[in-house]
Amino acid sequence: MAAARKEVTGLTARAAGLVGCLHCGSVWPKGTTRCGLCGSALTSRRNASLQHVWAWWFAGAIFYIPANLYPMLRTSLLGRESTSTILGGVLELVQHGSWFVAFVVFFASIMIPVGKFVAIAYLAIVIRRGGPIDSHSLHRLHEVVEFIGRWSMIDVFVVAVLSALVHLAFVVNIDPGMAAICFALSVVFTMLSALSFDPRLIYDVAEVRE
Amino acid sequence: MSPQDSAGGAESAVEMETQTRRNMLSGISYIWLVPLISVIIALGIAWQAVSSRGPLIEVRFQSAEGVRAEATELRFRDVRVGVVERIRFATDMAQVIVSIRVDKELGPFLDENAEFWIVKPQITARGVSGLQTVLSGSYIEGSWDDQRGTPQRQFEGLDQPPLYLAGEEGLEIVLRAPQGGQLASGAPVFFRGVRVGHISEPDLTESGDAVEARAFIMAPHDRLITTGTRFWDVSGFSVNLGAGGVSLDVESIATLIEGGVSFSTVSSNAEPVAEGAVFSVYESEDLARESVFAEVEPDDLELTLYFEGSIGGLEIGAPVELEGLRVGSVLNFGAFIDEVDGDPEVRLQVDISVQPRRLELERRASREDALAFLASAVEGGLRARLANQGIFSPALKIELVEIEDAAPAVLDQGHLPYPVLPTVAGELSDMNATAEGLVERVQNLPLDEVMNTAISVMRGIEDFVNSQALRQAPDAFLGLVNDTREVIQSEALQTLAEDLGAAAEEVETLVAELNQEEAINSLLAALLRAEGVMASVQNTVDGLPAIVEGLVQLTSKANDLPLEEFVLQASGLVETANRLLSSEDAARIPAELTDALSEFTAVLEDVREGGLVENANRTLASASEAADSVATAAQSLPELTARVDSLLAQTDALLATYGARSEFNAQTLGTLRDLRETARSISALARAIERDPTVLIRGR
Repeated sequence: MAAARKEVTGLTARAAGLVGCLHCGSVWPKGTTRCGLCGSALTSRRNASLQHVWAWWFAGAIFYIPANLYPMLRTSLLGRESTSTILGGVLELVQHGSWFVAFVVFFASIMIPVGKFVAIAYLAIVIRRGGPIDSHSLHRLHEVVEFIGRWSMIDVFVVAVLSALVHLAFVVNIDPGMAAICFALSVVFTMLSALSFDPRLIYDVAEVRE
Repeated sequence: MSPQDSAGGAESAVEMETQTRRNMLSGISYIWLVPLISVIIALGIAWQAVSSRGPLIEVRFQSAEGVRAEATELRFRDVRVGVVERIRFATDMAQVIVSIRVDKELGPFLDENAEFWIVKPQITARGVSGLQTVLSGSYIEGSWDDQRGTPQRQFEGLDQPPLYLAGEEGLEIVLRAPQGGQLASGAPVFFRGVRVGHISEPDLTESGDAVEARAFIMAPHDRLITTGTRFWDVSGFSVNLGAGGVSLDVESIATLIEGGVSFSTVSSNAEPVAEGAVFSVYESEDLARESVFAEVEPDDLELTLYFEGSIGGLEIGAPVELEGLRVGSVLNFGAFIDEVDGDPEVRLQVDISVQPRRLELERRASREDALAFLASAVEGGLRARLANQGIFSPALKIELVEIEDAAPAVLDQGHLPYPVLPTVAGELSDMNATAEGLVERVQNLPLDEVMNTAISVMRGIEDFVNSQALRQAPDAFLGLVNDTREVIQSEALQTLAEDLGAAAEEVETLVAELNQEEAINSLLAALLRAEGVMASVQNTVDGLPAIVEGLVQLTSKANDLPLEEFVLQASGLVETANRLLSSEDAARIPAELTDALSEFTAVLEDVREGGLVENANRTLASASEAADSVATAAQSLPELTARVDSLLAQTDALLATYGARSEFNAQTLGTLRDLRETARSISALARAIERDPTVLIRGR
């Protein structure tokens, strides 16, 4: 199985003296700075990739704190105003017995963001530290993180839609809380962090190991 | 993994590592600004949140009804100024501690004056309050003044809304009433029917013998509260049955249910009162006003009176009056047996209290001043006596009066416990006697006789009204009218016209016969007939008195009627008719006619004696003379006719004034018209004879 994977891994572009365009997938001779096909800048490796990853990661992490501490929604029902944080909302839903909804909210608002933080941090640390890695798994992880990142915005969408629709004057009013903005920023930053990650670094680590 | 691969990997790893290190050392990427800014922003948010957080205060309540953490608001003048953060129990579990996060800018105002209470929906007789809490839930209302005091974080919550909001202008006093029913929480305080304050929840006094409630009088009405102010209960309604009828007093619908008090200033020497002054609540306004006198003041002057005879009707608290002005009240009374010269005698002792300032002394007169005043007054004849409170009232009062010729007496100041004021017998019996006398006199009035007389008078009037005579009056008048009609329709009057007509006919026949060849015979016959005619005329004329007599009767009957004018005019008519009758002309007519006829007769005799032809002319001449005589005789006829005419005119006028076109009128008028026609006919005949006497002969 290791042999098969090695075969799949094959030769990296850099080892072959080439540089690949991340945008259109074409390869150019080493030293080419601009893709002749799509005009994108060509680098063999983005050297500051990890810095970027960590910078966005920290920014996202910082905003994730108030996103959980501050209320996500401010609901006023018949003049009675109530606020709920993300976790508080989940607990409330659990208390009401809405296990499924509670799970969805918990999954989208807590599991995914936290999982993303962990995954990105793991990738960055592994790349940074080297050591034995399963490059295939890392690639898969990276893909999953990139794919799943946008779904964290579900919360923000829900808040935005509710705030826009539920404005019935005195009877019911829903306003976004401070946490909504923080959460949105956090998600954006983690997405940028994932994007900043240069998956080609995984090859290098794999090569080193090999 | 082969060593070669490993070496190559290590090589590239070293290369990468050095590259990375170089990058990290060569300069920290600008991208690190992002987390830096994020940190700043996050810290900024945190700082803002922390710094904008006001103080957390703790309020202790007996129960936290409707209060929810994170939801229940703290409001000040209906503005949200905080929210409940936490609710927990005090360590002794006796209270609930509500932690409230208050807006920061209000922190300094939350000093010891701040009050907190839970607002719940309330439905009372005055209305509905706190209705908004039905939907939004209870909230905690806070009240504090505008003074920044020493901020406090621990407060005792109120069970009830406070009497007044902190900072509200006004006066807080304490009302004391024997019964709590008069005082209800929130019940209004009225002044002249205007609500000027309200009452808090009443509570028993420490001794438990009265109920006290705090009352708040809003500014600017608080200046109405003085030491001379008296409060009385206006709860429910009062019905008074007095001389003026029944009066029902209801202050307001709300007081029917939850009561209320009203006040007024009843004493003139009043001073402002301090916060928390205690006032009694009296049962009624009258009692409140009287209370000014009933209150025992420290410098009241007590006196003892001794009376002989009954004091039934005297009550404790009964007024003591000096010249009609109340100066005190009866404190106590009782009877005891006094040994006077060995004879046990029952004496009635009455203790009274007199307020020196009510006497005609200056304000602030002391007890000693009053005593001195009374002592001198007693020497001047001042005595106490019993008197009725009202004319018909059995209740008694004590009157202090000056008796002009009173037996000398002094104020016994040595008597204990109180000085003795001499008394005189009251005027009670006199009053009773007067009333009795009045009743007796009323009883002695000859009411029965008066009634009987009145009844008989009434009966007489009734009889008179129902009498036959009064009823027959119209019948009598009708009879008179009938009589009149009879007179007018009498034979005599009717035959007059017929006879005249017949006479004229006979004359015509005579003249026609005269025209015939047998002149002499005819003439003779004519003359004979003329004689008959004349006799007829005489008969006719003789009939006139009968008519007149009828008229006289008519007028005499009419005279009986109570119609003055009618009577007067009818009298005139009668007079005229009388004159007509008594006139010589009328009487003369028959005589002259007779003369004329006798001349005719002579002529005829001459004709008969002499030759027919010879005497024919003479006869004719004589006839002419005879005709002349007839004419002369007839000349008086127009005058007669004129008189009848004037009589008719008068009668007409009379009837016109008599008025309505009754049957009587119509008949009388018709009769008189007939009469006039007849007279005219006579007049015409007479004129014809006058113009040409030969018609008598020629028959034309």
